[in-house]
Amino acid sequence: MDNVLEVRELSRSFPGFQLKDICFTLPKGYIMGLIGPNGSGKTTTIKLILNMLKRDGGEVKILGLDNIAEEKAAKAELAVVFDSNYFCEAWTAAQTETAVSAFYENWDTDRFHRLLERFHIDPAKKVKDLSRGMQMKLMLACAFSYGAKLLILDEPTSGLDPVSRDELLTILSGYIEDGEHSVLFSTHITGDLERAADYITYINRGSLFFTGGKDEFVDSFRIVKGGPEDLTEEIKERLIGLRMHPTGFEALVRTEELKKLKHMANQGCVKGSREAGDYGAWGSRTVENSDVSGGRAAENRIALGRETSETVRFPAHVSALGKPSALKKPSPVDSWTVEPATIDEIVVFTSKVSDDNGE
Amino acid sequence: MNETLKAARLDFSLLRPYWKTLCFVILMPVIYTGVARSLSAGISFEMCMLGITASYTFAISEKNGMERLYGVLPVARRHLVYGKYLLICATGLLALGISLVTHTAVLKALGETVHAWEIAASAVIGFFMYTFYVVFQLPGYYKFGAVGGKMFQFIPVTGYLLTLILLPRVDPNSPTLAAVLGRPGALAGAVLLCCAAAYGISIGVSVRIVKNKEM
Repeated sequence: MDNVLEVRELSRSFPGFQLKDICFTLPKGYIMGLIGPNGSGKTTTIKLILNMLKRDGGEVKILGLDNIAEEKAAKAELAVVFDSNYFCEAWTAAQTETAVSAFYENWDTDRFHRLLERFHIDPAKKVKDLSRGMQMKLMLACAFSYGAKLLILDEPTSGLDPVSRDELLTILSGYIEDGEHSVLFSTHITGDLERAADYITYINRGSLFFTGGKDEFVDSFRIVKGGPEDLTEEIKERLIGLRMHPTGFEALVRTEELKKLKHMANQGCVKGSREAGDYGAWGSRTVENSDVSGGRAAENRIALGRETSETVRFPAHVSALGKPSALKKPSPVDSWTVEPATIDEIVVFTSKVSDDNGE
Repeated sequence: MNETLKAARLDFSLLRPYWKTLCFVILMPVIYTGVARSLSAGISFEMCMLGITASYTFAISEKNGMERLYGVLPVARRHLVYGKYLLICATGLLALGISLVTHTAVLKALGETVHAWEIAASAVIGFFMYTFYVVFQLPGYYKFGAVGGKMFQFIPVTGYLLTLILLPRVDPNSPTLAAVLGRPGALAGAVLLCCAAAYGISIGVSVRIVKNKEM
């Protein structure tokens, strides 16, 4: 069994919201971040996986077991940590074990108490007297005490201080270390995923936007910034979540779209000046578009999708306007900047598109 | 361990922090028995009080957001329902047993004579009343929750008041009543059968509600 979790075409409709055709797989031994803005459908997806909500369509397999037909066996292999405590507040940590352990054949009491010690939880302390971070650790201690193969966390870091968040990520890294355990980690604090996740599934407004490797996800997009006069309607159409400022614009662009933008830029350049050539149209880090070699280097980096945090500059006016005079006197303000995007930026910009469409 | 027992144990662990309240509910009606000088009256009141506590596990789990815990546990939903009914029924029987002993002791201490048939009759009446207090309440809590279904908490009080109002209207010289009371064994059997049927129907309704309920 290579995949611990397989979700296929999962759908569910509510009045005013529809989760449609969600598909993703989580391989064994990895952490997957389930991301999206608030109300995008992350918790609904998790509840459908847990059969806490009834699905309209689709299929969910947990360790190869159907989540409805083989619910009991599937749930014996998974653990869930929600954003807030789900144990009785009047229980002590030790009483929590007594109440829950009977349901798990593999429950290891010694391990549970070792974990309490490791997490600095007093077994005699009541759940209501534990801090939010400690309550989360108690849920984790229970999860780890019966050897759950799949850990599902629903917004576990919301409301936690940075130290507790860091501790959680360390615990999760340790959990998957043996390659036998996996984590599905829903969050809107995407900074946590930059560090911990191997895979990303991004849901926006109930639809699957992306699922795949984290690096692939991050590499799929670039942030483009430019001057206010650099945009044409044609270019605008290719930009995602365009934001206009008095000094210019910024937007997200699919990395593959950069080639098309380059082509558009070239077209503008050919119209304006053959001397500047294809490379000049694409520009360079030196801002001087006459630096042909620099232009080629930048082009290659973009084409291969290996762009680092280095800023790649190219004059927008050549792509947009194609004015020969503008080629001769490029203004630094009018140059475009292409930068790698963070997960957070991708979510923010793509959510903006949805908002615009929704209006 | 059987899944129903595990579920009952989980619910019992919810009640454990509230054992003082439960003890109060079980022992307080002794005072009523002492004042009324009647075992059956005291036991009836006792069962009414205990019937009100049927909402406790619902209220506690609702307050703590524990439907999420129930949702992740590897146990079928119907077993969670069976477990709750088992615990509530067992609580009723235990309380009934304790009450019969304590209330009888109090009456004897007050110089009253308590016959064995009176104890047996009080046990059957108490169990019958408790059953009907809970079988109507529990599906309501499953459907609406402890807060949303708060009106169901009035069922025991309403039932008890109705008993107080209707009982004096029964003609003690009625031949039907005489015939029924003339066969106490058959009467007790019929009452217990009726209780079992009521539990069965109530459990069926609750399981149906829970299976269709989303958490």
